[in-house]
Amino acid sequence: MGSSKRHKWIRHGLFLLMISCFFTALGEVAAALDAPPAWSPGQWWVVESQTYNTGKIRRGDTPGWEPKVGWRFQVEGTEDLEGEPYYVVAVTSLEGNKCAYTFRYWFRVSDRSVGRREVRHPPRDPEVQKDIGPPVVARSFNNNPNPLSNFEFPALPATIPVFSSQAQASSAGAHLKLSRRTQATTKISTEDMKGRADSVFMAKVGAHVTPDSSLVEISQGRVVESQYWNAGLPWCVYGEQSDKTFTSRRYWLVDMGSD
Amino acid sequence: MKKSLLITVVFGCLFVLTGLFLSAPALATWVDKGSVEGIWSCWYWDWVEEGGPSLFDAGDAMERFDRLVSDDTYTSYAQEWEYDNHGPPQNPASWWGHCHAWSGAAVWERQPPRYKVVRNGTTGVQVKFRVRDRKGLMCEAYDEDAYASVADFMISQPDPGLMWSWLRAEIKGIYPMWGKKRGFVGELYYGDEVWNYPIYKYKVVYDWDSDYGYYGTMTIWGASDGRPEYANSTDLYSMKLTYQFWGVQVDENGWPINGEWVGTGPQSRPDSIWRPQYPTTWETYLGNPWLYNDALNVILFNKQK
Repeated sequence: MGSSKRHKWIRHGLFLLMISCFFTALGEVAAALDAPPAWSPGQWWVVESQTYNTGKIRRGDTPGWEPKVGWRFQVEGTEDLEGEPYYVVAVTSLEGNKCAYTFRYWFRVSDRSVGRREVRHPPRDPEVQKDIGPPVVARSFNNNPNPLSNFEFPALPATIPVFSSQAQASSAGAHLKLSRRTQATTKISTEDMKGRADSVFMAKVGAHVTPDSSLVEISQGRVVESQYWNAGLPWCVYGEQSDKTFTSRRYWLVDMGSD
Repeated sequence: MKKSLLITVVFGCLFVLTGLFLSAPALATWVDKGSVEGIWSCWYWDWVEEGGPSLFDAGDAMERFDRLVSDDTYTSYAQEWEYDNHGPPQNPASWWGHCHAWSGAAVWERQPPRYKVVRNGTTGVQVKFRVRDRKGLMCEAYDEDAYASVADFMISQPDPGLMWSWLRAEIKGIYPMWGKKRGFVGELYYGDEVWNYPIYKYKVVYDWDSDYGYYGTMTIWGASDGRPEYANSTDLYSMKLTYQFWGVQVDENGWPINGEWVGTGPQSRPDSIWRPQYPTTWETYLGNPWLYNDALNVILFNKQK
C-alpha cells in the first residue's frame, strides 16, 4: 500500500471514529434528559434556602444550619443572545434576606442552560468604601459554567440542570457529560419527590403535580447538586449542594404563581 | 590582541552556555502571580482580659464611642456589651478575636488614614478617635459578616486547583466577580483554631509532570493582625505562607482544578476562603447593638477639612 493511500485510509478511519463518537454522545444526551419546565413571562416562584455554618470561620460558632432566606424568581420575558431565545429571570431577595444584590439570569429556552448572569448592587459612599466598580456586573457563561460559578453567592440556588428540548424520557442513572460538568437523571416516584418537598407547598399546588418526577445530580469538580424535580412545577421542589465532606446548602420551592 | 579577544569571546560564550545549562531546571518552571492594592493591617482585638488590647478596654474604641454619644437622657453601653459578649464572660480561648471582621472590612473598606476628632453637637463633648479606634469600630461593624448566607463565596477546604482559580480570578483579576480585582479572606489555620487574613498577593511556581500533573508551590500574602501596634498604623504589615501541591489539572477553559496539598499541618493548606458581600450600612453586620449608623457614619467618614 502506497503512503498516500495509507494516509487516505487513516483519514477515513478518523472520520468514521468521529462520526461514531458523535452519535454515541448524542444517544447519551437524549437518554439522560427531560423536557424543560413550562415557563412564561409573568410567572414567579419562591425558593427558600439554607446554608451550613461549619463553625470554622468565626471563633466560637457552633456548626449548624443558618436561618432560611427567601428568593423570588420572576420570568420577565425572553431575549435573544447570539441568535437564540433565552428566558430572562429576575431574582430578588425577600424580607429577612440580607443580600442587597439583585440578579438576572438568562436561561436558554431550549434547554435552560445559563447563558448570562447580571448582578446589580447598590452604591456606597466612596469616601468610606473602596471603589466597588460598575453598578451592574454581567457575566457570560456561554452555557458552560466555569468551576468558580458553583461557589458564587452560596445562598442563592440558581443551579439548574440542562434539559432536552425533545421531551424524551430519561433512563435511570444515565450520564450526560457537559465538559467538566456531569449530569445524571433518575426517575423517582411522586412519593419520593413529595418526601423531600415542602409539605405546605405540596398541599397548595397538588393539582399541578404530574406523575413525572426525577432526581437530577449535577456534578462539577467536587461539588454535587442533587435536585428533585416534578414536570408540572417550574423549579426543583428540593435541592442540596454537597461536596466530599458535607452538605453546604439546601433549598425548597415554597410558592409559585403568575402576575 | 586579536587572539586574546577571540579567547575572551569563546570563554565568555562557554560561561553563558554553562550558566544556561545549570539553570535549566529553573527555566523549566512557570510563575503565575497577582496582587491587589488597599488591604490593611490591624490587630485582632482579642476577647481575653490578659492578652493584648481588646475593644472593651478603657480608653479604646467602645468607651470612646459611649463617651461621644451619651448625654443627660441617653447612656450608651457599647463598652459594657462588648465586655459581656466579646470578652471574658464568654470563656474565650486566647486566640478568639475579631480577625474575621477585620478581614472583611479590610477587603471592602478604605483604611482610616488618620485620627478624627468628633464633636457631639448637643453636649459639646469632643472625642478623639485614633486610627486604632476607627479600625476597631469597623471591625465591630463587620462582626456578623462571616456567614455563607451573606457571602460572595465561601469554600471550606479548597483543593489547590480551586484555590489557584480564585486567586487568578479575583487577585490577578482575570475573572473578578465585581468587574475589577479584589482581595478575599483566607481562614488559614488548618485545624480547630480560626485565623482569618485578607489575602492580597500570591505567587505560584509550578511545573508539569505526566504522572503528577501540575505541581509546585503556592505562596500567599495576607495583611497581618499579629501585633497590637498594627492597629494604629497605616503601614501594611504582611504574613506569608507557602503551600506545596501536586496533581492539579486544567479544564478546557484554562482554570486549574483538583489536586492535592502536601502535608497536614495547620499551615499546610488553607482551611477556607471566603468574602462577605459588602454591607450597605454600618449596621448590616453589626455585632454590638449600641453602635449605630448615624454616629458611625460621622466617625468613619474619611474626608476631613
